[in-house]
Amino acid sequence: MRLNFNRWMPAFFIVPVVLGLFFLNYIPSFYAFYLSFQQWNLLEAPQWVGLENYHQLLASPAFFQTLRQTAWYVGGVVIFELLFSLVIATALHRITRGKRIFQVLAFLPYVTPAMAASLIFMWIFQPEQGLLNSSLQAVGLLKSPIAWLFTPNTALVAVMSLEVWKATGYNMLLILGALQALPQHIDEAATLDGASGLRKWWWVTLPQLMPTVVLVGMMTTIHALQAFDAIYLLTQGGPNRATTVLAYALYETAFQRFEIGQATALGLLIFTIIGVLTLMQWKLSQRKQPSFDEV
Amino acid sequence: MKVLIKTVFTLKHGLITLFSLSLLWMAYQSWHAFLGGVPNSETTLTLSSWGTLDELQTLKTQVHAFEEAHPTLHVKIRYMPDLYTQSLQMLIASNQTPDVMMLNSLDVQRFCQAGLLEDASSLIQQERNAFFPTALKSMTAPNGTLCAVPRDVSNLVVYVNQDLLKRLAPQAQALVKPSWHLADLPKIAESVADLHRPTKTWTISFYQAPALFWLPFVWSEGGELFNNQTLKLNDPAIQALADYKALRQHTHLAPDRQEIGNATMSDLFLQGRLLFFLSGRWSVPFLREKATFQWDVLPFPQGKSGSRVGIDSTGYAMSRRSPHLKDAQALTRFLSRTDSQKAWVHSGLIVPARQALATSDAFLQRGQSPQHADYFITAMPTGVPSAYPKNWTSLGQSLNSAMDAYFNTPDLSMQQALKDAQLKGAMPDAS
Repeated sequence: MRLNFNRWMPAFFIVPVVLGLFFLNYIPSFYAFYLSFQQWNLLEAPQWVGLENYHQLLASPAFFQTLRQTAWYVGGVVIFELLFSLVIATALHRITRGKRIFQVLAFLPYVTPAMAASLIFMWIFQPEQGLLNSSLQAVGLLKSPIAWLFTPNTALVAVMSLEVWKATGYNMLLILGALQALPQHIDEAATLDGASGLRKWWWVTLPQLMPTVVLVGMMTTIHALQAFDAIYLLTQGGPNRATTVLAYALYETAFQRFEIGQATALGLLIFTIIGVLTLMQWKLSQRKQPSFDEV
Repeated sequence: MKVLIKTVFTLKHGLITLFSLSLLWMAYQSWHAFLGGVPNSETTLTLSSWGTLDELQTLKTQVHAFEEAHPTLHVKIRYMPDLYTQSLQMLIASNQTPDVMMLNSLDVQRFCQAGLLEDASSLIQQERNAFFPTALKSMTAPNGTLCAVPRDVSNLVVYVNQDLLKRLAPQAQALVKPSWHLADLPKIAESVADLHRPTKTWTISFYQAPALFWLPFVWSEGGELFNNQTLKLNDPAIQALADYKALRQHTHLAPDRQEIGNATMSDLFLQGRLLFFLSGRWSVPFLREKATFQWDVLPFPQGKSGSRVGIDSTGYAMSRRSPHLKDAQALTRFLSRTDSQKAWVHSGLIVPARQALATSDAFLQRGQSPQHADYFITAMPTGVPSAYPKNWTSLGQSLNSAMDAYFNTPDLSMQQALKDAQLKGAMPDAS
């Protein structure tokens, strides 16, 4: 009997991915769920503690402080990333010369390694000789230097700025792609009807961009909820835990306190939040968009 | 041949070949990893360590000497320069515990209480007195088991920028002596008119974490952190911590967090901006290499209870799970002998755990800074050997969090800081 290769070929491509997902994703996820009911310090055998880890987590004021900070961080990152992405994409869509160069320049931060970017930002925010303080002092906007990364009120904003700087270029490219795919005739019809400038952008362009903006917004939200590297490199969750967000708290619980059970409980909570947001994104993307062709 | 190449490179056959080769490779790797690979007469021991590349080189030299002396033994070094404890615990959790591990006293205590370490008493039975008693104590579990053989003993001394002292505070020089007191610090600062401003130079370094750096201020004033393995600060500890906080927030003898920025205390000392810098022996090699001024060391200043710094240790521990325990013992014994410790002493990095070596010229290194290296040794008898409760990793994090807030928030009380970090029971009981 001869093997029908063409019939089986897709399996050759799919099986490794499915196996990878199964062993590296699904099994660890289920194991993490199981571990969230255990007390384990990576040294001794795990002990079953039931819902104790969840109870401790939800009874801890530090957890709610972390949750609040995460909300501020995610909110700030999403708003500023979307705003800057929309502005830069719109500007790049309109210019005719040097478009490619500006696209590359805007995208460069995204491909900058987190370590290098963090070092640059450390220097920018350095209290005494940092670029930001020096510039603000030079133009008279600041009298005495601010320790941006070492003051509880400013540290989270400083960390957010790194994330916004890094990811805006990527989001801008997605929005620019959507802008370039918009049908020209609607824009022309709006112009003929007397719409122009910001009004046209707000009432005609933005509604058409909404599916992409929603998608980018959700992706940014999910990404921001997993924020870790910038915080680890810039502030280590400090000062006074002011930059401890959920993902960093998870690391701290697992690998500094060695409370693996509680860390997995926290991980599952982050997973649930991201799951709900993904579901919302899916629901939003399923909603029928108004078509200008039907109007 | 042509047919073979054509066959291999035809898409479908190519895929099958690739798939089969992958399976074969995976099978080989699994066999190698789980069954130990090709059987031979050699035994492979694993030895885990952290440290700089120079330290790794020192270790490699010793391992090479061990292998030459034991031709049937091969040692594989698991070098983990960063996040050592985390990496090691991951290895332990995945049943890949190294046969011999370099551990600090905190980890020795934790690992030993978890039943992971083999009793090392028999390795030094004949020469127990050769080691500093405090070093042995910091490697001993509460049940009296010696869980590691100490390689070095570490304590804190005060590094002094002698040039800065001569230049800015010549009249304060008389106060800067081995029998100095914590109360002398403000006097020294007073006699240095322009020490704080506008040159931004401070009297002493300040650390909010780890506790090892502020505990001498507590212990020297008669303070205690624990009562029967439970975090319970006594009144002298509360007062001592308030005085320590005042160095940063009130008298401003120490830099605050905003002034430090991304710099470390050793950076500030090297820049000539700190008169006194609290640190351990590990600072000697880089100061010898980088300092452009005269410097020396002094014992930690005395408080009401004398000069009391923590005594920690680093040593070699054997895994109880090791299938080659006899060989692991041989390696541990080899790494702990005088010659091996001498190799570390040569770099200036450590205070050896062997007393004779610590008082020899090999350690004191006359003619090199620090001129008074013997203060590292004289601090031993009054030192406090490290003894941490079992839940210290978690408790220490909460305490760090509380102290971070307390030291850096001018109006925050200790009670509130401990409460915020969920350490309510740590305050002294109201009398």
